[in-house]
Amino acid sequence: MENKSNTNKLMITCKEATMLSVQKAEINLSFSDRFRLFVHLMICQYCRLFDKQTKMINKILSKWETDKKLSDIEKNTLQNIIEQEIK
Amino acid sequence: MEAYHKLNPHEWVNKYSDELFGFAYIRVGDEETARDLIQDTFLSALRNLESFKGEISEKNWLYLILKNKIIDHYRKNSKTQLTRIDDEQDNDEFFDESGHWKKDALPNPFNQSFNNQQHSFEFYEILEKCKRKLNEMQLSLFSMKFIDEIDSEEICKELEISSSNYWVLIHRIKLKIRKCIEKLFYGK
Repeated sequence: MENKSNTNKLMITCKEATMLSVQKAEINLSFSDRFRLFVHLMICQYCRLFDKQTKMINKILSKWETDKKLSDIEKNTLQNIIEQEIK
Repeated sequence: MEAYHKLNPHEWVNKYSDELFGFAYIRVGDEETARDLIQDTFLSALRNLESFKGEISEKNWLYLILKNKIIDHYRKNSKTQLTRIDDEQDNDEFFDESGHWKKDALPNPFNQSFNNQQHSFEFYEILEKCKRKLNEMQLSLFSMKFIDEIDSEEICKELEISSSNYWVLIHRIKLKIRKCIEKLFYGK
């Protein structure tokens, strides 16, 4: 996976900064992108918050659980479908 | 004796259906699709009993079939959605033309109940609601990336998208999910 940033500017927008922060979670950013992000996060509290919160969200998502179950009727239906298929 | 004689389809529903259903539900985001996938899994299994060689358990074999069904589902869902990637870039709900946060999109801190609740089933129900804000393409990518934790390159291959499309999608997904969680965990 590659990311393309074809500018040499130091200051980046919030849109670019949040993109870099998303990419940072998955790939190794180039030194200059890392630096740009670092500088931006120093001066922008909103992107800093975004960075921190999305990190928390990532952790939670990988532990996703559910207590959803099939109803008895649905199980009976499934059982019938199986028994029919076996016959 | 062939390995597949050890399979006991009469017991599948009783032993595995809830677990398989939960696994599918988390990934596809709605109960009806999850039920269909479980049914398809059992039927495919029954029609391919000979493919069970006994190297893995009956349960893991069923999981393997289900996982393939889910990947097919992701692929199918993502096919029709590609054109919408650019569309959302044009009508950006988060950033203005100069790339700054729009005023009502500015991130706010989550409140305390976020920390208390974040590993409860209730919390995941809330996340379930947030997932519904994603379009089908984003939903497939969301599940592959954050629940199945499939490698990004593999995802691009499966969904036939470029790496730049991938980043645009992941960026949007995270913006949307974060925003939705904030709405539910904001204030006192």
